[in-house]
Amino acid sequence: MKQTIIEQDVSQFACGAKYLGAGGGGSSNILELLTKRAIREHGPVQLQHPFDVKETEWIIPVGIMGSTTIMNEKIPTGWELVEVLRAVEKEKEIRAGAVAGIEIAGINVLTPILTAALARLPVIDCDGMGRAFTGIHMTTYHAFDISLAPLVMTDEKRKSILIQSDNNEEAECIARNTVMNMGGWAAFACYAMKTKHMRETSIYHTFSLAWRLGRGVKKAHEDIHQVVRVLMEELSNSVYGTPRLVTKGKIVEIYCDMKEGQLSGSLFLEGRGEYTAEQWEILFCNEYVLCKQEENVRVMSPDLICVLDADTGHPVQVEELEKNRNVWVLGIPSPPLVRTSKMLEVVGPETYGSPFSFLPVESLYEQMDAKRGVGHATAWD
Amino acid sequence: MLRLGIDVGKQRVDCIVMDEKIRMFYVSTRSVIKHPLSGMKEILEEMKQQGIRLSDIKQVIISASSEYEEGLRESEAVHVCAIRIGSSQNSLPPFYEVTDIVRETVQLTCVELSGGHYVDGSPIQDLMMNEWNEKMDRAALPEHATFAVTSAFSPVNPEHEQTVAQWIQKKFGEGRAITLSYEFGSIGLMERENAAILNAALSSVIPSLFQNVKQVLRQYDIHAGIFLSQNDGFLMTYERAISYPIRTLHSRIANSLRGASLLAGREDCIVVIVENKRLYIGMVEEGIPKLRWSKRDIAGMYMHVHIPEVVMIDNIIHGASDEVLERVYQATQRFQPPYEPLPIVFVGNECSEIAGRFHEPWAEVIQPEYFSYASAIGACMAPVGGWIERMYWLSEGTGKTQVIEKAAAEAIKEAILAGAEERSIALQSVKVSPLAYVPNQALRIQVRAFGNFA
Repeated sequence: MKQTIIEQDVSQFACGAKYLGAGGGGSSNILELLTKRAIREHGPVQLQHPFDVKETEWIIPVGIMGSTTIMNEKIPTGWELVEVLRAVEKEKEIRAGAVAGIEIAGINVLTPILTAALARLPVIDCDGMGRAFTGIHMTTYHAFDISLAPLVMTDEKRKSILIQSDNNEEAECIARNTVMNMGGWAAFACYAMKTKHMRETSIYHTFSLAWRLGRGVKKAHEDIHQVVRVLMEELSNSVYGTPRLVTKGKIVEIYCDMKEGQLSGSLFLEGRGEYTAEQWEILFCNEYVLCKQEENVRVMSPDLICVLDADTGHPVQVEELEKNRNVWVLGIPSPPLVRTSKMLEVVGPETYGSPFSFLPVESLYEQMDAKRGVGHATAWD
Repeated sequence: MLRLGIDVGKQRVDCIVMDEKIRMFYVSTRSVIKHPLSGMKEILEEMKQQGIRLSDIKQVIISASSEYEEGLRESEAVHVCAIRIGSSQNSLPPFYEVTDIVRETVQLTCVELSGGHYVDGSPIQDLMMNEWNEKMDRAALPEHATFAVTSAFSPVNPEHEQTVAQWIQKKFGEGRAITLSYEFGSIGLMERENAAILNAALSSVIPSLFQNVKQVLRQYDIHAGIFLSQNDGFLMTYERAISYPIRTLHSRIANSLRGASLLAGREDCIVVIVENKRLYIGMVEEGIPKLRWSKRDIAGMYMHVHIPEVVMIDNIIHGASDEVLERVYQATQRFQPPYEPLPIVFVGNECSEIAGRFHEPWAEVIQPEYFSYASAIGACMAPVGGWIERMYWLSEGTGKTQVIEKAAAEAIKEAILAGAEERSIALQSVKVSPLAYVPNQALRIQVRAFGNFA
């Protein structure tokens, strides 16, 4: 397990977390640089196993919500994150012993590290999504009844808003409506909890995993075969489990619409190579939600649908989708905690208007193999 | 009427003289020894001896790539005053990741002012004259300093950048070079700021680089307009280019794409460029290279530049091995439409071997004459053009059609400034796209306009 985060590790975290975004999470060069600068000026950050922290300590997860596009224009200083942390401490009259992650994808793999560096605290190696989701209530913390409130949001002008509510979904809704009025993005802290609860409700070792993915992918030098090999190896050896190579194809059509600030629609793939003549559709709503071959669903949320650019092995975010691109699609099993019933109530396929109930990618493929009467060969290279 | 094209590469300089009908009168290649333009006299002398009437040359077109570090190193005092207008103070300073060479050569004074706009174009805070005066008095800038002004969401509303530009002129005189970041279009304050600073630094260096060229041309009785190739392959006058040198650093690939299309006589095609042990595969649509925003490492910093979309294949140690041929085939597939495959054109001085061995059952494969001069020819035959990229916030009273018209008018103005004749100007493309994770009132509009030499 990774234990000390130094400046050189930062780009590995950022790179690895992109593969866990399921098409969302955003990216920001400035956040990467701010994190590097914070470590250079304030020293390395300790990454701790959830069992290495005292049971009575308070842990506060932090992140940035809203539009990364806007954040790259109205730039942060990093101290907004410390401010929300301190505000939650003050509100609850506690002192945080460590910070943790809300989501492990996109920019929010870096926000806890940046906060930790500036506030001189350790980061706990865990988060509440194991990927990217659109709402801050879509966490295992919420699924296991941790209160989201008090939630504090702060923008780059250091204006703050405190949200108190017994209902997590309501708190998220207020926060979502507030963020646009705050200018488009905000740092936030919420779900303050004791270590004991963090151990019960979080997904472990996701920071270490992001770092390992980043390290492996950088060595793969943009060769898709190598990149997929790294993903297979590292994910098989984690709480996620072995990914499936779902298909290889060319994007022939994209339908995309902005609805209430959400990028939703679907893309159509025409199979290539050993998948020639297959027709695929992937539905998205900020993140990739459902992947089907004609009418047969192959991967569904919360399992991670990972779309890779065949030329570079880079993950393709929903906002970067382009016609005629050749892609490989992987289905990554989500961690067991994300598949629990209360979690599925907020992130299962039904929440995106799909008529299907969640089935894990492994069992969908088992069914398919059983139907064909063959053992599925892992033909991923 | 003749055109002289000078294509300055990293290792060699190509020169051609041609007329508008792509008839070649002179071609020559020289390896770069010292300053790339130092061989100019020799070349002109040779042309004269071959009986070319140099006074018939009406346009000189220069495409130079990535010589900025050279230019900066040779020059002595480059000082840029970077003015950042925003709502947060003490975030990352500009030029944070720049290479040591540039850091050592470009003296930087950074000034932060309160102001800037929200994504919808409304002001975060008004600019304050007293803050400006106080901070600029303290900055104590040298005589030769140039300015780069960057404001939050200036692609939506450039007002604060323009106001500060006026203040600069009032305080420091009309002659100062000022770069406003909104003209570079891309969203992302730091990137735009870095581009603006680099541009401001280069704009104080470029004139001296081209001083010799002008003198030599005059000596040989060439009274031609000098044009430079832009990243997108269109031309702009030298006079305009000195204000936007950063737009001229990556023109080579665009020129090769256009040249390939012209030489092969195919308006729509896929092009494979092979040179300097590298392959670039790109696409030409209706005679114009297909472009996209790409992240490029310029002087150590990531910047978005609008250049052709290409797939690059590195290090062909094995020449035209099956592996390389397969990768070329795969790369062309990225551009091939689902039906009726486009012809594939091979250019660049090292393309022969691969072109000879490349077979595609469905598409036409062409290796045209003068294949190694594709870049110079493409530059020579390019129209004069300008482009703009802006963001607009739709509201009641400001509809989509209106903002598109507004953008188109601005692009036409750009094309005129680049040296195009007003009546000949046509709009090449109008691209409207939404912004990710921003409510759908936000539109990003790119317009490109081009025309003939005025």
